Amino acid sequence: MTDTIEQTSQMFHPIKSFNFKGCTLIIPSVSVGNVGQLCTDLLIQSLGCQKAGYLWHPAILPVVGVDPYRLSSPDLALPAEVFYSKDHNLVILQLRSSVVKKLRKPFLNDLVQWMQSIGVVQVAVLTGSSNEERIDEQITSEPFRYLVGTESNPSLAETFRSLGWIALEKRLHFPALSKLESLEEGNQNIGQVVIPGGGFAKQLITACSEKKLNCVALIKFCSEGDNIPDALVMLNKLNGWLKLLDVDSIGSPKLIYPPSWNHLFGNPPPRQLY
Amino acid sequence: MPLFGEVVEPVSRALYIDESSDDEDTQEDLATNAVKVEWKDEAPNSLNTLLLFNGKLSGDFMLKVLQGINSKSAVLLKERLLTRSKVSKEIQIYKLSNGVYGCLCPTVDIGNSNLVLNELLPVFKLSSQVIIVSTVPAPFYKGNDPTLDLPSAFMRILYTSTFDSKDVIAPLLEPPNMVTGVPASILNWCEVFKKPGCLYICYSDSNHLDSISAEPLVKIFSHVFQGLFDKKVLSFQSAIPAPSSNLYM
Repeated sequence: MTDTIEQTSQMFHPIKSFNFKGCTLIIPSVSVGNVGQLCTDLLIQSLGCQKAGYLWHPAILPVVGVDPYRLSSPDLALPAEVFYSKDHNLVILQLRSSVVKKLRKPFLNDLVQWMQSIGVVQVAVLTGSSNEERIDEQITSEPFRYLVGTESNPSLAETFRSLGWIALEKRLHFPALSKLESLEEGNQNIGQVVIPGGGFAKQLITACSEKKLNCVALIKFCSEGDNIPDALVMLNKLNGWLKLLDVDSIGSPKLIYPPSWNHLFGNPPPRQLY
Repeated sequence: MPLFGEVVEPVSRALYIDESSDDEDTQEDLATNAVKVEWKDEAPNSLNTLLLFNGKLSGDFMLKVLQGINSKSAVLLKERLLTRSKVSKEIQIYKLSNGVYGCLCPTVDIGNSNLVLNELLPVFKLSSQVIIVSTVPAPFYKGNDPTLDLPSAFMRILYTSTFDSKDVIAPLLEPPNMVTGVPASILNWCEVFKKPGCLYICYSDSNHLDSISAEPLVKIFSHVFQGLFDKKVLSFQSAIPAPSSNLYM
């Protein structure tokens, strides 16, 4: 399939011509609670980003609807759209559907190749991770972690530490940690990185590291439900790092909710019921 | 939510498979040769419109059109519709009118939608525009108050930026309604590769093709293909039968 569909030659199909060189790229991982996607939608709406084009790849599951940012607009919402904010030196790739797992590896390789070709300097993956899979240290601390790729700039991890963020803990075994294994986790050089329910976040970091592209994952522990508060936490963290949005007197960024959020919880109950 | 102390697996809106694991997916893929395109009438060098019919009512409507124009292929399509499992294997393209060809959308898993698209690409390249007619049961429509003020059959539309807006004969599909599967894959491709494309989504509370459930489909055919199809072809049995006595059956 990958040989015939027109994706290998050109993954990105621009609507307008922009220069992305030197930008930070933000991408959500389709994950538990859709936190990354919610945060990305919020960011696009609040920053007033311009649609720059589409990504086409056979791995992306098809989904189509109307523009989630402008009511009554006939523009289509496609599964992978690229937005740009010149003022903030920011490229945002919004994904509205999952990736076929069988084609995940070629998709991520093509994605990283495209990221390199447009000249972005760093990539931030926004993802959720399952609340119920947390270890003790994660339950008793702020439900937010970061993970940097091995090839990432060391100063990036230093920046996050100065912001008071906690790095994602490694684990000896996953799932079902025993108490002994938990105690042994103090040694950061052993164990494995796991982001349960985090979609392709870990694999994207690995793919970026292989190509020596700076990549960081911001991880919010959450459960399915009303995940708007999780998206707000994620956006606050992102804003603390990249300083994208103006903040008010209490330090909260000025946000505009996308109109599509009016429908997050489905239809109201039928009036005939009462 | 556990009700009786049972263990309940966590569910997710986002994931239908555990995407965070490093394992390769074991989900079965369609064999690459499973979907094949077949021209039931002579293959043209170019065509004006390729119509794709998705959903049961849509398929029945296409059969009615083929029967109405006395196409020899109507018998073949009737057989296929009776054994719907075969629909997923082949894409048979029938001539509906001069320059207008139609086929049924194969019913495949969403993960294989792009595979079907791949097979259809050579046909899309011959066609000036692509129109998808999808019929969906009305309960799938999400509106502010779906139980009120909606007719038995109604239509919504999604179209690409290159599509001729004169054929926009229905309101836009409102959020949070989304379309997935083969129709979404086709419209997605049309938008990205700038091929004029349109998706008519016809909602109906009936699973039977009659004068009411066919109303949106007739509207598409009588407006978009004005004059191409005889009125007789687009007339349907009334959904409300004339009152008659059943005393002496």
